[in-house]
Amino acid sequence: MKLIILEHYSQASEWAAKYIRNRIIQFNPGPEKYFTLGLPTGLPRDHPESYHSFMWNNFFKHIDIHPENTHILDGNAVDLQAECDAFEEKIKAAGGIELFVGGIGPDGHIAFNEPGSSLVSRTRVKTLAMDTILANARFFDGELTKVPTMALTVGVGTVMDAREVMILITGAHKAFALYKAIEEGVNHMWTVSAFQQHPRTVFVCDEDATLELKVKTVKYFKGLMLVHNKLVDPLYSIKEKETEKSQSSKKPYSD
Amino acid sequence: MRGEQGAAGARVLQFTNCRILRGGKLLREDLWVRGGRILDPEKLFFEERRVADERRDCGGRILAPGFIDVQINGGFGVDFSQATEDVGSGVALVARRILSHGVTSFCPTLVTSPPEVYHKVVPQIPVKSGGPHGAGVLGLHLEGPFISREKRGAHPEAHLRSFEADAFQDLLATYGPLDNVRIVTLAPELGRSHEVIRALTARGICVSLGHSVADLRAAEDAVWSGATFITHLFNAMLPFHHRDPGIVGLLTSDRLPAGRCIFYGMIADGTHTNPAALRIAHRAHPQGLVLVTDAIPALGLGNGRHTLGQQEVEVDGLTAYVAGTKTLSGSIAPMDVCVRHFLQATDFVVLDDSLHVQATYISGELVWQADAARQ
Repeated sequence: MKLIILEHYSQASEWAAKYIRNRIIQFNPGPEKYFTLGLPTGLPRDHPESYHSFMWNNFFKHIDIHPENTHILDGNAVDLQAECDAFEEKIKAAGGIELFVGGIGPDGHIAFNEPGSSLVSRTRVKTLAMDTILANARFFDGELTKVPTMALTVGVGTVMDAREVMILITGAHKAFALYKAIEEGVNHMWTVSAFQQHPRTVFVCDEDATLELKVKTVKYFKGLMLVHNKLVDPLYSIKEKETEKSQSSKKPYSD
Repeated sequence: MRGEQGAAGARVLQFTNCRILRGGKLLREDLWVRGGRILDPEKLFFEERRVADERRDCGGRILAPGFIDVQINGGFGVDFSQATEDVGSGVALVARRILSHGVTSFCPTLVTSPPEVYHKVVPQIPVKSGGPHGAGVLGLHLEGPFISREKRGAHPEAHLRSFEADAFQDLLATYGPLDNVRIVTLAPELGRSHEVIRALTARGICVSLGHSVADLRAAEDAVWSGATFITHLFNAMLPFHHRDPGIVGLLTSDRLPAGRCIFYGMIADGTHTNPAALRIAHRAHPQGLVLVTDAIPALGLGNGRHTLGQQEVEVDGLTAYVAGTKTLSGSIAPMDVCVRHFLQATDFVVLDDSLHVQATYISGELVWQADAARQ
């Protein structure tokens, strides 16, 4: 894995954004070649805090993506399992996920794969753990009774099939989960630990998230930042690439 | 706008690189329009799975809702209170010319006039939607003749009336049919005003208090009967007094019906009200403030003598007086000038822009554009 440690939340976000940008440019997507970005799923459509609103306000409205190229799990579907199966098919049809970007729960879950989830699970309906419900309560004015108890989610196995995985972890409340995810063994109680067996994972975090890690681990990866920062050096944009003759070939750095 | 998301087949217009007013703030957001209605882009994206058909770059400017002028007596030589043969083309001319001031709808206002004038003019000014031809007509504003003698301002004394004899029937006899009427300004201290206010409100006509010597109690009672507006606050009413605030006291009265918001017009032309008074009103009751021009036929024309209804008016710069007196008689400041004056006076949200109107849109269609902005 690559462990990227930045000082603050905003710097971690910026690093991650630049990395994603570079990956898209290098991939050189086109009408027949989709760069499939995977993101974890969330609440039912109707709710104002719904995942649709969140994605619209924080992502889609700022970019020029065509709505037909966005696929969000529909929590209001009549047959939920069929919805999940169809989602898996759509991923296959788009050529598989190129890069999956996600966060980590305080209980170490990836997407809504709560502790105890199978590490080879696929997209399905999950009942949420109390920890997650408590964490989501802030979207429902703190009223626990209003928080949905179930969610559709991509499985651990689904994410493992992605060609690259990026996990964003910020804040001291995630520090223990990060420790369990990377310094202890692979364990279905901390589902993010599954990515220890993925060939290409990037963990991007801020200082606070490293509070539970060994000093040795942190020092090692901080020492690598010089090399890792090359990954976010500006590349030619896709538009510029068409006019530019000589494009210096930048291969992604690998372990 | 409420209602459906415009005709589903029509083109979707996306105004981008602009700031829009939402929730009392200027936000950096795009504005989406289709078939003359504002769209919810989120619904368009997720439900219809569509993108914009056309994008318009606003150059970082502010996209404000079109201005609505609810008190304008005429302009560019046109006097709405004159019973001419072709009232319609006069209204149309003003409607077209005020587009460049950013006004997209207005209420042509008639000052105190004899009944013959109302009977002739009122039926000739129907409600009309705006478009490239001009701003929309929302309905007429009849200011007078049921107003106070003492506070008549520039209104001619000879034509003032009361409705003591027959209340609403008196009013109908004076104005004629009320189909095209949207607002009526009257003085609530006049006898039987409550019956009249109730009758007007029942017909969906907004009753505004003005040109009156009513005290706060009388004004509050009028609001209970249905009045919702105050005509040019501070002007043509008793001044604020700490033991009887008069009509001005409605802004902070706690004796109004629950949930009712009282609105008040203010002429921010730099003459009718001192900026300090503007600020006091705004701070006391910001949600009720409505900027009006109270513009007269001399709007857009030079200095000199002009008419306003049955009166003669002298214009000098940005002030207009009843000829030979010091009585203010309406205003000649265009709406966008009033908006800028108001910004200066109250100093909220300091922007780089100077709020000069660059382009006016009605229902998503460009109806006027400043020369500099033309490509």
